[in-house]
Amino acid sequence: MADFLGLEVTADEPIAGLSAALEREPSAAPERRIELLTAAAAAQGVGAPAGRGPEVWRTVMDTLLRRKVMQVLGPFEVPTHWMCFHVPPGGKGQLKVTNTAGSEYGLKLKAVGSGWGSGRNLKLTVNRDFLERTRCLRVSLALQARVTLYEGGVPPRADVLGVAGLSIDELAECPDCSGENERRGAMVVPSGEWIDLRGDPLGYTVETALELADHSDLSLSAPFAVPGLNVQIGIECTRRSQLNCSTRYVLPGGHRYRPSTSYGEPADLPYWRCE
Amino acid sequence: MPLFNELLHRVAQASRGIYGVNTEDQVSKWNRPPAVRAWRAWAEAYAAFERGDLSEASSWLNAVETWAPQPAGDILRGEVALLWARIMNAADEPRRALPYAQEAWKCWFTLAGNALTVLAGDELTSLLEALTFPEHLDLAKQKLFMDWLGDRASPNLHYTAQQVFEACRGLHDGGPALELSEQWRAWYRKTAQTGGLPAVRLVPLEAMLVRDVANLHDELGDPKAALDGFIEARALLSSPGVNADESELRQLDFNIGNQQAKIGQHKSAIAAFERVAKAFDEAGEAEPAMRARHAALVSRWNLGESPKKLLPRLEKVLRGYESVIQEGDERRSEAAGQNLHRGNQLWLSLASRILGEDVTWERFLHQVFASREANTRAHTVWHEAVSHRRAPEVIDQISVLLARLSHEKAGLLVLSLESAVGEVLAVTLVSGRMPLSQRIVVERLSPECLETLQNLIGQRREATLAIASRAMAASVEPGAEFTGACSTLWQTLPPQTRQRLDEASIAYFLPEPGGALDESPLELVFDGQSYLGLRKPVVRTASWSQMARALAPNRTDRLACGRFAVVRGADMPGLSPLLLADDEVSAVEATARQSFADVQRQLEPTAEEFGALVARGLDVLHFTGHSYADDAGEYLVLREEELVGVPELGVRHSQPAPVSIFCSCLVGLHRPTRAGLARGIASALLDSGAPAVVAAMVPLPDQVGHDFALALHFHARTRPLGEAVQAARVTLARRFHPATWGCFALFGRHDARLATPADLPLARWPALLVRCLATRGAAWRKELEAALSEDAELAPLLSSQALALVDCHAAGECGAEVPQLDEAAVSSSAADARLALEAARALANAVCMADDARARSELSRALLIHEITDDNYLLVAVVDTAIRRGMLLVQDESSTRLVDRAHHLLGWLTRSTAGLAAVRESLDQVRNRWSNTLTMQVGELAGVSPEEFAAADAGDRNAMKEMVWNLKTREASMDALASTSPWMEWLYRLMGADGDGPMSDFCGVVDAAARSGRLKPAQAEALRTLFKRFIGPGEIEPEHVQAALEQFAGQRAEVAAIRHFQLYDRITSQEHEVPAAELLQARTQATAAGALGLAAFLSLQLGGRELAARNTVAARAHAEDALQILLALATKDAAYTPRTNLCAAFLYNVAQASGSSAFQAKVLHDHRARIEAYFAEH
Repeated sequence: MADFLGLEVTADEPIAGLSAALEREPSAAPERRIELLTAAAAAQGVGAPAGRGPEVWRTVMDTLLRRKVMQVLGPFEVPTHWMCFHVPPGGKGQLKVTNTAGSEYGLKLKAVGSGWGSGRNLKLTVNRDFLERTRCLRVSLALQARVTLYEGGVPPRADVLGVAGLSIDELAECPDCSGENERRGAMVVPSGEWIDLRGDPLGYTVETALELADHSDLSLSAPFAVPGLNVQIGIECTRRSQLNCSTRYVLPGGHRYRPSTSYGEPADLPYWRCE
Repeated sequence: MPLFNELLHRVAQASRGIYGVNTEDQVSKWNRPPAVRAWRAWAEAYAAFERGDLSEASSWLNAVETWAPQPAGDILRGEVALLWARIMNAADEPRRALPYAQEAWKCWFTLAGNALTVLAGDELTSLLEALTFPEHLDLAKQKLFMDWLGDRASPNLHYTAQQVFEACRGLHDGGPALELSEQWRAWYRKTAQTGGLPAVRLVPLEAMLVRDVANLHDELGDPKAALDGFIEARALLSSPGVNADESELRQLDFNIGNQQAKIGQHKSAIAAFERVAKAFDEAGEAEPAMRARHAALVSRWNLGESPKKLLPRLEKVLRGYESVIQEGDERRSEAAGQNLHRGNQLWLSLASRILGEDVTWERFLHQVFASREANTRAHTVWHEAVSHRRAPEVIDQISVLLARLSHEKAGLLVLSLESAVGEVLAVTLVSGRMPLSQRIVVERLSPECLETLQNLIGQRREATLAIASRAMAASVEPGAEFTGACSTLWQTLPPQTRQRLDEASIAYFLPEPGGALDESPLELVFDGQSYLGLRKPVVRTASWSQMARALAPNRTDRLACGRFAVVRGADMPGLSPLLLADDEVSAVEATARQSFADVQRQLEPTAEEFGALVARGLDVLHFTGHSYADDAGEYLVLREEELVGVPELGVRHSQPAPVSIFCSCLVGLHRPTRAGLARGIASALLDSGAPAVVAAMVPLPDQVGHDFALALHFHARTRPLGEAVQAARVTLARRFHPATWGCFALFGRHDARLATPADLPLARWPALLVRCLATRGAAWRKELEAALSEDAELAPLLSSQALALVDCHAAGECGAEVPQLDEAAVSSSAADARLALEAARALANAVCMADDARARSELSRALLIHEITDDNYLLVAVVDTAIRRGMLLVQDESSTRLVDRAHHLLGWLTRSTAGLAAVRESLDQVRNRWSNTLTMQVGELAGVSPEEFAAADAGDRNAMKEMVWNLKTREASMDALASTSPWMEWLYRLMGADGDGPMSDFCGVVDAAARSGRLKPAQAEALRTLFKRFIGPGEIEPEHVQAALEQFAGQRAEVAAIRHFQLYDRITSQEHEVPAAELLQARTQATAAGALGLAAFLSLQLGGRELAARNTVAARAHAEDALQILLALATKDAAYTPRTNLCAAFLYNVAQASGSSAFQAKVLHDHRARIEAYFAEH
């Protein structure tokens, strides 16, 4: 269950789905409809059709016009990945996240549902201490979404209704720290130098203050399996952060540690490769 | 004569055999209006197209666009559009061809309806001037117009329609052609109603149009509509009063049977085919008869007859097609080639059922290869070998491929899918050294497997389109239907194919180009544990020969140059903006900087800038942007109206094409050309030297393109591309739907790398042997010795003989002895080793043999080996040897091609730059010498083959006469070409006027009449023979005269002209005296026939006889008669002047012999100038 501890929504505006663009001029000619769709997608700024070849708008228009509602489900809480906080193996870690001083928001988010659904344009402030812990944490921003199913195998539509809060999972086995991610294809790159404690049985504490200030929007795609149904939807988001992350890691002695990240994936806090 | 076509022919001949002249530069400097230069550029383009040089034709057409006045006239626009359409169709670019063809149709159809408007403008005058400049031909505008109407306007309407039909066939969209045919039929009907043309002339034209439409329906897969069309065309031609061409009727009968077969009426089709085959036989139409027999065999096979029984009959037909192709008639060859391609599919169906029995494994594999490579000799070669009771010893690309595969890493599997009749065969071949029967397995895909394959292709298309359009998120898990199709495809694969795929460490996949097979998503088959594309490297190959080239160790041998380019194509209006492309470009660039010294970013380049970038030489090209491909064409979008496709990317530069990565849509697709070869951007780049190409097979979602690019470059820093692509798929598989990561294909070599490391593993000794030869032993010698000694299977003697050949080639001189090879050991070697040894021997022989002709033949042998092995070191060695041997001192067509190619290839072999320094110097010297020399190749000028020229040079009189004829035709005057007079008048003029001009005019007129169909080929040949016998010593042999008379039997004027020519020859050859009575009779006939020049000649002959008999009175009468005629003729035609002068001089002789001073004074008074001119010339 998501919670709003340390999280406040300061702005929340609706983003219309693409089908709304067609509803504005129901008797428009096909070319005009395509114009309406392209304009609406450009205005959304997220989740717009994007193929690197032939135009896709005709397909979009045809699908929008032919789909017939079969069932509306939800709302559901859909977690969208925000960040992972990694605790060094055998050690401890603490994370505090706050808005960057003077910033208007901590997180700015545009999210729409797949199937050309509607969405929200959100601003949130964050001020949360995740306390000291011994296991890695996965923090997600949960969104409320409604799912519409259509007849004839047309992909479902998801509408993002708003924020449901933060969803926090403590990981019994972290795939990043354990190396499972790399075995499954993650492109692991070091994000710092080795901290060599192999000759030091007592260990070491690392404290960092990291500013997460994005200069452009990150594009993210979050899948979600509708509970109890063989239905998959996706949430397409763009996100921008203005956050300070204070971290404190306690690295046990007798090993060496290297902070690492996954190349080609959204920026995140480092995980620890331990030898 | 068809004036315009003849003048165009003359333009085509003008630059032939002349080197060192820049014609485009010359034309650009003509002091004539731009319209004239534009027309000349079009004529040069036309000539280039006719000789098959599409690149030069395109270049000239671009010059037209520069020089043409704006707006260009209707005729020039029509001609240019038509020529572009022909170029694009010939280049298998139907999508590009169609707009040109439609524009051309619009021009020519409009002109057909209102041709008289042309008379108001001056386009025809400009055209005439362009074709004749710097000479001048003055023709009345009306005459010019009529000539143009017959030569260009009317045929162009038909050619244009053909181009529209051709493009529609390629596009698989009959719409524009059907619209055209409706428009044309309406025009025919209107013309018939208004009485513009009689119905009996219009009906056959309409019938042919209906036939063309039916053919189009056939090719678009609508046999019912095609059948209706052929029946209608047949009915039209059978209408009362229509004088139909019998061969057309036979052809339509065949077409009707063919469509019946296609809709399953095999029994009635077989009966029709048998009737038609007999009719074709009776008419002597061999190729159509073969087609009918072939079609009957297909129907029999469909009715279940035994493959054992059908195969020998089919092979006979297929050898027949091959023989037609060898004859070289372009139109018949193309039809036979297409039928051979279809016949090979039936061959596969039949042969695959009797494999290991009547058909050996070797035979089967060679034929599979031949079918895919459009080889048009395979059946004949195999048959000849078998009928000579010896084991077929085919040393070709597949033999070399098998040899190379045997040395590849264990576990390498080749899987090809081959279309047969109504079925698909899976042919698997594994690396290793077992006998072929253990390496190859042939199985049939079950109907269930084919259905699943289609289903999965459809699902993948749907999924990628849904992701690209954002109907579905890229990150969702695949649905049960998708994963089910992936699993079912695995389960329904033929058992041994499945097992071999399971066991392979690397799979090379050769689907047939085009359609479902090309799109087969082998990477997505799911074995219950994992997807194949995640488990092992899968490399796609568009053809067997492409695979052979990929494994050829000496095709490219290039040091990395450290240059990496990222090209970002423009976002296009109407297409989705690519929001992640810029980030991708930055990320790829950043990764590239870690390994490459020179990383360039090109944003929205023009086609020219892009071409220059590639031509400069790159290690890697990464393209991000929009692109498109289907079964009618493919292109990358650089910016608006700047598209590049196969014609641009397939250009071979002096640097090989780079490893190319396309994060854009569909670039991995291939389509079949009309000859059945694979065509696509990936293959074009591989053919241009790219070690590998990575491209998508489906429309690519922006995000997937971005993430795949990042993953691929990340993994490819440290791994070969086969593994890097696999790893990138694995990376994406963590987050994305399988349709996304499964859409990327790798072409080329599995072990290609982004940057070739300097310390590549050494090639095997056959490759090193050729490198040694190319570098004249200056490089690779130690490596060769080591490799030879490491080959445990190589006989030591052969090893030392190979090294001796290298030494002999490097240091040998003309006349030196060439070391021998152990023949038995060579014959038992693997194909690659054997060919390398044979190449070494051929090159050593070429250096040492005293006889030039034999040395040349050895070099030809080495060139042939190069064609088989794709060994570019060998090509360089051949050219270098030819230069050393002094065989390339004089420039000609083939030497220009060879030297240019070798010079280009030095950039492909930069790992041997130092070793090839001497070769480069020698090539540069030749090219410099050529560039400073104007060379005229008499053989090429005379339009004869090098062999015929050599024969003439060696004294062969027939060859000499052939050259004389050809040279004479080139010199025919404009007046002759513009004339409407029949060839007999030109022959009479030849006899009456004497001199080179009339001879040339006669030759030119006969050739032109043959080209325009006014003379049948056999008639023209008979006249050529008469002329050639005439210019030799002695009289024309009676059998040649008889043969000519037979060709014109029943044509009184033609027969009379030939008989007169025979008499003329008898007189001029002076072998036997012609009786005076015969001369007198002939003179009377000539006068009656209006051949006054000949009559004058005969009078002169009679006068000569009288003078010799001292009968000056009679001699004077004959001479004065002759002179009177000749004087009259000479006032109209200067060609008669020399004989007029001769006649005047003769008259003076008669006057002197008469002893009459008054007579002498009169002659001198009247003809002094002529007499002096005659004596001055003689």
